[in-house]
Amino acid sequence: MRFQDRRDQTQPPASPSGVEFAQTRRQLLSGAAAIGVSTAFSGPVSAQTPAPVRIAIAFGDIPRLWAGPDGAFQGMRFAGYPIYDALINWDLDQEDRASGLVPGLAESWSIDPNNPARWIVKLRSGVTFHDGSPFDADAAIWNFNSVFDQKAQQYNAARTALIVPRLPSVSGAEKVDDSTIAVLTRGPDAMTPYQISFLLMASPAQYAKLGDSWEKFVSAPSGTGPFRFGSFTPRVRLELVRNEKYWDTKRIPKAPAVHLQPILDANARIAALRSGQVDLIETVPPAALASLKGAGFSIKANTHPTISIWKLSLLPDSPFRDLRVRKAANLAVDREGIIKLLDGAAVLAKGMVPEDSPWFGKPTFQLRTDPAEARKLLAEAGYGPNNRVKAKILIASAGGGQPESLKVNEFVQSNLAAVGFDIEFQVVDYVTLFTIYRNGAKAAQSAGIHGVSLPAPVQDPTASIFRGHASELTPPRGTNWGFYNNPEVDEALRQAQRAFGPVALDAAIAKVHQLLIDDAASVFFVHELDPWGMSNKVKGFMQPKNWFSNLTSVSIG
Amino acid sequence: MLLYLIRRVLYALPIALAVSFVCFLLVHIAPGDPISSIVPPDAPPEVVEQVRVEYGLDKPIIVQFGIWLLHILGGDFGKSLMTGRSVAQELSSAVGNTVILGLTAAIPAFTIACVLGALAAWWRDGWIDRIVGSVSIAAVSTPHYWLGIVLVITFSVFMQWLPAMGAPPGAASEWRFEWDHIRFLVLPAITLAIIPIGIVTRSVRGIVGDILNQDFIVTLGAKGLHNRTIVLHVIKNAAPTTLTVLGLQFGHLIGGSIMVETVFAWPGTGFLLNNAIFQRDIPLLQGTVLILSIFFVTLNLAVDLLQTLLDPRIRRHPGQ
Repeated sequence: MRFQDRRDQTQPPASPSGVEFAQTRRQLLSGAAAIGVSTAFSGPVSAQTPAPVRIAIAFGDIPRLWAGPDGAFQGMRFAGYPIYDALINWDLDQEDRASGLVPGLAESWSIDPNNPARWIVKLRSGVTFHDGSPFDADAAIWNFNSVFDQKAQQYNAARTALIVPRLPSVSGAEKVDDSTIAVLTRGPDAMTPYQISFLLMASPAQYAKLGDSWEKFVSAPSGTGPFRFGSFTPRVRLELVRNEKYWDTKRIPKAPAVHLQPILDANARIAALRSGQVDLIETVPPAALASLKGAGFSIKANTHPTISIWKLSLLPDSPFRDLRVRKAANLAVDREGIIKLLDGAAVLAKGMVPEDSPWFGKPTFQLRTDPAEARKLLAEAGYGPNNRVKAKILIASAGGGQPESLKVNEFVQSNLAAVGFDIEFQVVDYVTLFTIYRNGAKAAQSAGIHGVSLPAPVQDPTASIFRGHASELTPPRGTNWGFYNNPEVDEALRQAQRAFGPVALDAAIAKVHQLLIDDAASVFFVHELDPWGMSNKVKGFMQPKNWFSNLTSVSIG
Repeated sequence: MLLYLIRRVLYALPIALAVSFVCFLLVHIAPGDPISSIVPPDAPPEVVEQVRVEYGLDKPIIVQFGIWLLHILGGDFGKSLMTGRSVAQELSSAVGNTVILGLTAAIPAFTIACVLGALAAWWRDGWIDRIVGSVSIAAVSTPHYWLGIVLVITFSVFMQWLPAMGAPPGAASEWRFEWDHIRFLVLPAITLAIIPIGIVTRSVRGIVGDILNQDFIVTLGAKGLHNRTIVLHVIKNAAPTTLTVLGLQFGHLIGGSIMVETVFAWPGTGFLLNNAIFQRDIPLLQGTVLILSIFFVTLNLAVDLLQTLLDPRIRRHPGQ
């Protein structure tokens, strides 16, 4: 099965010959054995034909192209933002500070002065979808209805399940005029603009043209993003083509096309890069960084907004119910050691967000390595050499963006053992871990488990900070797995929901963050980096401090 | 013969169903909810329930199996939980890719192995036998995963002669017997072929060796027949047993290529099965296992029929 967009005849030839194996002198000299096959290799890429950028992505298949991809943030990275825009986008054009929000298909947004649960959004005019149909208020409402109106024809439960968790406050939208809509929320929530950034706008006209079916839509998707759909071979390749008419002219892609090849196995991705079969690979394992650099490849490894944690249970059977035990665990973690273990592919964590983030605040509890203080706190809590803290942590053998999960967890286990913890692991596969996590610490499957090892995304304040700690958002309503309950945090979260305006909101989230660190709400490890490897032909690759990537600046020189 | 064929086909159906049922149960016995692989942990419970109903995961296991079976009888393999694509569509492309890879590995592997095995048996205990024996034991002992990586490092990374992984654009649906497509096959096919080469070589050596020790071969020699004629007799006698070994090995090549397809990201049934297992994609897993089990049963049937044709001593009739 291969889906091909026949609208665009200007894209480079689909055949890999001519772009995948440029001949080198070494190849030509590599002996008589090469002669039989060398004729079959195509010559170097023509100077007149800019080459597509070939990227190996850490997936078994291309995420679904229905403006709400699976594969969490990494799915959005490749199958979301390149093809689609949201009303409010992430700023992916700078890499020295955490990305903020920028206008996307909305020119501006503001809270309704008469109703704090209603946002007035002015839409960008003159934007068309890739299929040529206009983006307007009707199209925006159609997209909101696709996930909030169960009676809408375009409502699909599986797609909705992937999108609505990112928009927990939003309840729908209504048209004000042709270029204005009102986004309705369940209550006042200043974090709504962050949530809106996860609702991508698909073309209603294309959906209708393809028989009112998402199943068919994914074979010829249409958005307003910087790349248009080119062709797709399941499990083999997705070809995206430059959208010459992109509304944000500064972000019209430099490369004529981007080819995404799903390669789940990290060694296979590295081999594909080293053999010249692809130009860029994502999620380079830390152990391979030095060898790739040594072989002349470039590495880019910016931080992305995530932190590895043990999310703790605060139920009566958990030793972590005691703040002193939680603090002791945090003081026992040798973060420098973890960074060495990860071959430098991580940075020290002082909190859930990096220290330079506007959400960091001024925590009084310093995340540091201090075994003596940890032992002292445990002694105060009634623990000692003959009464060690016993706890069981659920960890995944692999998956979920933690390629070195076992190694790091075992290292932390040894750190904690040195101060008086006996940590036992229950190792499961990632699907099982998620099943247990979804059901919460009170569920039968979580019996005897006192923590879950997870990467916590902190890109937006809603996901990990709000939904992970609000006391009313315990499973199944939210991801407060461990039944964390701190009235001060709850109050600070309520204040953040009412802190309208970017500066006020940043300050309010910083207050929440400060409380969470002071309360040692989790065991915090490190901020892992997001290493990409690339050949020296790659030009202009920009890696924002964001889960999403900027594929518009990259090209083959 | 026709009755025999019908009987064998009827035998095959319960085998395929039993395999599917066992597989179905095993997936459900394993911890973890299939729904967790397709919806995030913080999806609203009412939406999760809608998805569960949409995919029929809200029903008792036995009912789910019954519904799946009914749909299969109607030719509907269902939809993949992960991709939403039709399982039949997924399977058609994956089976095509695996058959291409399997045949590319099997034809040269079986030819080489039969020749090597026969030579070793003919010159039994001589230096040829010892060399062939060492090579075949080394081949059988070589782990697929390790060999695949070594070949990639050598031929893709250092020499840059061949692609390290993947399939040509369009894969099986746009397959062409041109170097641009064939080059993607070379390394996975070699990796896949190595173990069968060892096994078939050892088997053929044993089969041919036993025949060469039989009295009728001694008689043929005593009658003064030329070696060429004796070889023909040996081939004729060895063919049915060898065919059984080849059939089993081909079945292993097609059904057991998970490791090779994963290392080389070759989008065949093994790759599909690997993804389906890790993502608890039950419809895809069920469909793939069913197709593979039908393939095994059909292959065995074909081998049995060929044996009957090749060896007139094997008589099949009702009741036997």
